[in-house]
Amino acid sequence: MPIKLKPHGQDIWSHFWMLRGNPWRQSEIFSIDRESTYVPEIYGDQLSEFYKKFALMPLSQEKNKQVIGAVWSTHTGDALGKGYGKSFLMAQESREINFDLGATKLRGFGISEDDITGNPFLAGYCTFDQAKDVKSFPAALLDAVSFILESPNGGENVHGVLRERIARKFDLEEGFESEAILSSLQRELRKYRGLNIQLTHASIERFMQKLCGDNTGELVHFIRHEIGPRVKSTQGFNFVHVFNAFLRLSGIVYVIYFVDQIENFARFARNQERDLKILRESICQTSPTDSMASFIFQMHVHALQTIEDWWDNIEHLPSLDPKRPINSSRIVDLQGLTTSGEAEILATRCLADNRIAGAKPPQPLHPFDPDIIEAVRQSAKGNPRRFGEKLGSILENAYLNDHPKIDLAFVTPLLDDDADEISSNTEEDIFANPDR
Amino acid sequence: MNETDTIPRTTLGDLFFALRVVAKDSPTTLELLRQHFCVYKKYRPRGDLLWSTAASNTQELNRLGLLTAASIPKTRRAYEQARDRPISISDEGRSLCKQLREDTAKAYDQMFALMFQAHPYLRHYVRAIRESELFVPVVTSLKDHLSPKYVSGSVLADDVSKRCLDVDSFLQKLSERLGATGRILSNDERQEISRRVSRLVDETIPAATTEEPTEFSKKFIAKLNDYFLPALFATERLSFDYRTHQLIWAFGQEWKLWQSTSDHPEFDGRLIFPTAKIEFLSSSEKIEKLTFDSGLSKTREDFLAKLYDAYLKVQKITKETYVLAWHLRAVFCFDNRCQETVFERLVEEHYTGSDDFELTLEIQRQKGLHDRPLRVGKRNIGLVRVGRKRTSNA
Repeated sequence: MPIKLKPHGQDIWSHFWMLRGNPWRQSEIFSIDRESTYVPEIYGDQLSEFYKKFALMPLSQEKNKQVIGAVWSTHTGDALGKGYGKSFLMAQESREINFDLGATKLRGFGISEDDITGNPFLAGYCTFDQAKDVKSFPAALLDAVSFILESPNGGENVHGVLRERIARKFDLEEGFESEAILSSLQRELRKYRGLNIQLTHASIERFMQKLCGDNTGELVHFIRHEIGPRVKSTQGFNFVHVFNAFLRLSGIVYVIYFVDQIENFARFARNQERDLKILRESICQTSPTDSMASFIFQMHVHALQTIEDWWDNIEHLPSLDPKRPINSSRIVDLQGLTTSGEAEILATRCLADNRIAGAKPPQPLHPFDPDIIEAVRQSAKGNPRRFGEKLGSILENAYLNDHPKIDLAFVTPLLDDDADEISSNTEEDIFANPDR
Repeated sequence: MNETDTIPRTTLGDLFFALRVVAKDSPTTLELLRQHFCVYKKYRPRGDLLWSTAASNTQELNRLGLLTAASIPKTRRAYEQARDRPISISDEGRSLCKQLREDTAKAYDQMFALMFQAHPYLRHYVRAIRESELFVPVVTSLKDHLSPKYVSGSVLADDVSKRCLDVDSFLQKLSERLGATGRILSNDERQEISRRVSRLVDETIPAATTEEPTEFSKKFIAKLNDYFLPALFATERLSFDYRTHQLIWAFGQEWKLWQSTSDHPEFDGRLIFPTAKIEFLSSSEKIEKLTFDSGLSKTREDFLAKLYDAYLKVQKITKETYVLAWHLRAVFCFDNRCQETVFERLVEEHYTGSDDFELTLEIQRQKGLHDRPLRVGKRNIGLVRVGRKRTSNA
């Protein structure tokens, strides 16, 4: 129970603004453990581009479904290109894909029901994270495996659904599925001649047993806490290959791995050259990963500068440079809030998620109005994170100054430290005189 | 012309924007309106930036009875004192604002009727343009419009400083340019123009001797238009300054009532022609009816055939197979009395041609001397060729 401040303060939040609290954090950086308001509309056309390039195009291929691509934000309004919602997009869309093995997403693009049933797919999100000891590609991808396994799917999780699919496929006897799935998985793994996994390695063996077992919690705990960093680093890709074989066994035809904070790899990796060689061999040369798994990296200018020396120059991995037109089929470039309409949708949705129960605000943007939203969008140069942070700060300032009415006169001085030049709004004036 | 008037230095878009802001939060203040304008025009709302935009729009809306404002500042210093005084929407303003949301075109028509009533200059202009198109021989080039001897700004500055501007050549060129419309410069007009130009020369002698010649020539040309154009339009009672002419041209295009262009290849100057019928009683200041009889649907009928006719006309003048897109646009719009926006939409609709006509559009590769480029499919079009197909029976 939070403390109650001076009575009039509470009145401003709930009585005047009809809010339970501030909808925006002071630092709105994506966290996998936090529930935040997700507004896909802010991505505009880039959202369908995202699906076309990373899901539809690969799924339309018979054999090689692999894409090595990137989600970028090259926006000139922000030199670093951070805060454009790349992480949020990758993680949230992965969750939504996993919820019904991509069926709703494919349906949204007019794919036939037969094709949807025959092409189930999954997506995982992972990030290089020093605090969690995720410092190498294998460790990061193993984190994505946990992400997929834990993802809700209908009433249960993806792990349970995958087991069920295998059990149904092989008509396994109830109560003995785990053992049967394990032997099926071992048989499946033997099919891949290029897959050189030591199946008797203690960690691999335990991973396979838990993967085929029915306790998702134990499996995820094992991956996160019992496989040590050294084993993750040396055997990590083998876990991923085993998992991909498990997916194939269950009839999953395609999986996307979204890898965030790739620039941290350069910072953390002790032996970059060796790690990259293993990465290239593992994702491009090893079955079943090389034909059914895509790897999409989150990129911004700083990340490109960090990795460009070794990425395509040394290891000949596909270039992720957005300036090269040839790469455009593998790159999605997020533009931020390009119109006042997108900014209004984002603000409305965040406010709605934080309204007090039964509140009927005079208009959905209350206590803001469209002009304030546009002023803040311009001041944030269309950067969604800065946009939210600024709105949150405006509310806090208004609260601390006992200023329930938020108008441009109040907001303007708060935005005063920003640059003169502001981003362009491509929306046409809706009140222009139409041709008769 | 005894009566005076001030056409507001604004646009209809800005007027409607100001009206919407005041209607939304009435009563509001000039300062708040200024800040809204800053956001609308994408500036950071610092200091008193755009104070005059807020003030001039408020003044015009106040004059039209659409809002009530106590006093509207004319200077920056006065603005500081008046910035927080209330501005309220009137019933008429609220109703026009509602109309804008429900039927934008009608709201523009209403705004025209209100401004027609309030502005004698506008009434004179409408009367003149209702009779026939207007040709304004705007001076934009020293060599082509003033005298061939003025090949550079320094030659002009030299002549002005010696008080020996080549006025005869100017009058000669003016007569030739007006000749394209069949208009003859009368002796009285010649004398009045000479007198005004001499006055301008007298006034600019100090600048001619001190300012940088290129800069001086630019300012001289701008002032020249202000000085001689009123003399040229005295009979039509349009003897106001050049800036007012420009404002009225722009308003007309926003109302879709008239179109102005300097791109017509047959006219060396600006052509303004009506694109709708404006009916009012000659004794009255009230608009009776507006008929947009050359709008989208009318112009769309046999569009490619009309475009072909316009193309042949331009081709005859320029002797080129590919004609400049803006020449074609100007000729088409003038012949069909339509707005350039209508033309552009129809080119967009018909760019694939038809069974009878073939349309070839080339992207503009070099900077063109035009009012604005022809935009089709988000590209600037430079050259156009319209062909009639051989299989056509027509």
